[in-house]
Amino acid sequence: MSIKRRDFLKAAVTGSAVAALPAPAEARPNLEPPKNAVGMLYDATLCIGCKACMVACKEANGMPPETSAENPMWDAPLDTSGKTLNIIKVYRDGTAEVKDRETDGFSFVKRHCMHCVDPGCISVCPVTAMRKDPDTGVVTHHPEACIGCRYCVWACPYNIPKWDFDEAFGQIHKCQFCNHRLKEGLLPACVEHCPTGASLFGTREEMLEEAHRRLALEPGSTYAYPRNTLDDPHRHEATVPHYIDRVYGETQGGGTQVMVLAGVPFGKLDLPDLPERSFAATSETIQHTVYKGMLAPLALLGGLMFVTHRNLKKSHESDEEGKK
Amino acid sequence: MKLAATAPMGGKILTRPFVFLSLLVLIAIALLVFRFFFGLGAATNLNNGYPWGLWVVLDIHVTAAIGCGGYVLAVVIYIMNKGEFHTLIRPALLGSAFAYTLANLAAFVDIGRWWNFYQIALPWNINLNSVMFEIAICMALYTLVLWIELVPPVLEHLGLEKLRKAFFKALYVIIPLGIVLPTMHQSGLGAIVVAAGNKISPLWQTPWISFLFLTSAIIMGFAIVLFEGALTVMGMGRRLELHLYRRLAKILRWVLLFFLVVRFADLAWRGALGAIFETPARTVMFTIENVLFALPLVVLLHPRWRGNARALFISAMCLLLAGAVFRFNALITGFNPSAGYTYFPSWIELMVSIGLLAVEVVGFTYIVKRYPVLPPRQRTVAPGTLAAGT
Repeated sequence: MSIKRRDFLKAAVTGSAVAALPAPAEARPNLEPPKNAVGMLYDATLCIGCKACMVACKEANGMPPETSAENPMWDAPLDTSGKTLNIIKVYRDGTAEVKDRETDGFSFVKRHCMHCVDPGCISVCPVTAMRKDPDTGVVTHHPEACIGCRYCVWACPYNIPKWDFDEAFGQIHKCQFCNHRLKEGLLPACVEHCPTGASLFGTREEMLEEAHRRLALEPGSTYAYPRNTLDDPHRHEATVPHYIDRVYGETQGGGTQVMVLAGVPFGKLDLPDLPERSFAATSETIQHTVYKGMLAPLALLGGLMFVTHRNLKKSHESDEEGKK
Repeated sequence: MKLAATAPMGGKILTRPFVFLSLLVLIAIALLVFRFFFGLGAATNLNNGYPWGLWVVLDIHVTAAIGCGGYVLAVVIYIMNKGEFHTLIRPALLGSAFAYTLANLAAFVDIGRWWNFYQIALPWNINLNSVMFEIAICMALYTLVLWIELVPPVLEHLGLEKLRKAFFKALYVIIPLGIVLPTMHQSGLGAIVVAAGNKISPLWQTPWISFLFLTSAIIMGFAIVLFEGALTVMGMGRRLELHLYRRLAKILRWVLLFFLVVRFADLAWRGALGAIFETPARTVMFTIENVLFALPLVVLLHPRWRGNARALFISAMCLLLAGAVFRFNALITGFNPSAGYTYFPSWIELMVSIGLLAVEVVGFTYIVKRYPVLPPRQRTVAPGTLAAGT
């Protein structure tokens, strides 16, 4: 008797756990990069912090200058915002003597949309105002559908979509890979104006290849670095730095189309350490496993209708009898 | 199961508290005009690190959970078939209808592009992967269901008996809908956290978060019924209803125990207990949250305290606060934005939130005084005579 009871309890607990938790077989995998996925490689060790990319970005996207309290004279944003889609930030430690060194060193980092392979912003948006180009994989924002719920701002692991809090009738702003320029066969403005080739444009595959090529180089040797794209005929020679042995964006959070190489750990550069499984995949797996394509709620509704009907009828009958 | 006898409470509408609360509502309305024409940045302290603040947590999440009284009683009465609780359902449904209406209104207040709100209903914009989409649609539908469930008192008030009888046929569909919809969106409100991944502390980022939000919403649903009930017992001398609340408390204690067991089993299983000491703020807030859940459990497990109106009142208040703090923690205390951002609500955010809560009290009081929602004072059912069809 007691064994039966235990078995029942076990079955009940397992049953509810299966219903509430993602079953591995039904798990939604990470999305794959589209066929012609574009890519950008930002090599922080090549970046000299000139901010030409920031100026070019503002011009190409018609964004106004933004002044912080300390520097009221010129464009000086502190972070990406409703007015700034691309920003160069700096990591500094101790005496900040040596570039691309973690202790007593410094490093630049360029922050803008990473154009995730499996973007969280697209998964969470209730009105499909975030879209991924099925061909190039560029993640675009469509304000005409946006209701301004700011779930994308809240959920993005890179803190990229930004609501324009200065505007009474604002909108979300984020880097769109200069999609309008790509369509005209131009490079993204930040890449075109980068004097050292720190920002490089190509397909995602090409960029990954180039990144791994650089990681395989001997530190201290020289390498001919390209500017703009890989088929740049005027490459410039530079000494190979000590890279952190990882391409940021290859797998993090399901992978990104903007990838980063650096000499200091990525965590110091505001680039979070993410699991390989995208949060979009985790969230959608739970959502769709629980709902099973709306079948579960409908089954529940049917069951409840049956029970309600029976209970209402029973008590109605007892009422009638009471009257007699 | 017919509706138990109810009657308008009567009495003066413009009492001093009523006038004071109405004033708060008017202030909130004025501030909302400002918010709509000068924007979120001007009215709130929200920023791009903390894009969600007081309005999202208190006025949508917490208010909707407080609105679960009708949901919980529907399950107890119609599914668990405990008809004796029928006297409690109308006030609970009315409270829920107000809470949910305000939660929808708060969503409208909080969205940055409010003039675009209809976009969520356009078929070509639907994103079935979005938890937010599901919540928005379910909450709007449930609000409608709640007001439909309140049609009978209006028909009674107007003396339309035939129509009222015909309406009962619709209950077979309306009542189950009124259970399925909140089950969906109350768990969905928790699932919102999942997509934010490691921006949320492991104390609140768990695969069980939907389950915990749903269960705590059910706890808050019980709590609001007990809170209002204990208040009427103490304030209006409706002593005879006390036994009903005592029996509700008996059901509630098991739900509460279950919640806490799952909560801590999950934290221990994932090895997340160490995260309690991540930051001083999290240590304090996590402790407050769980003390507020655990204290009422001690009271409710004790048969003598359970039957005491004041003990029930305090327990219910603790549980409402516990659910609120749990939601604040999951969405704000446990949230890691990029460095350099801080958030504390502005006075406008506070006054609007207070005003929205005042709407509920003002509206509820007005309606119970004019419409047959509460059981008539002289006919309050005594223990042992609780035939459902009286």
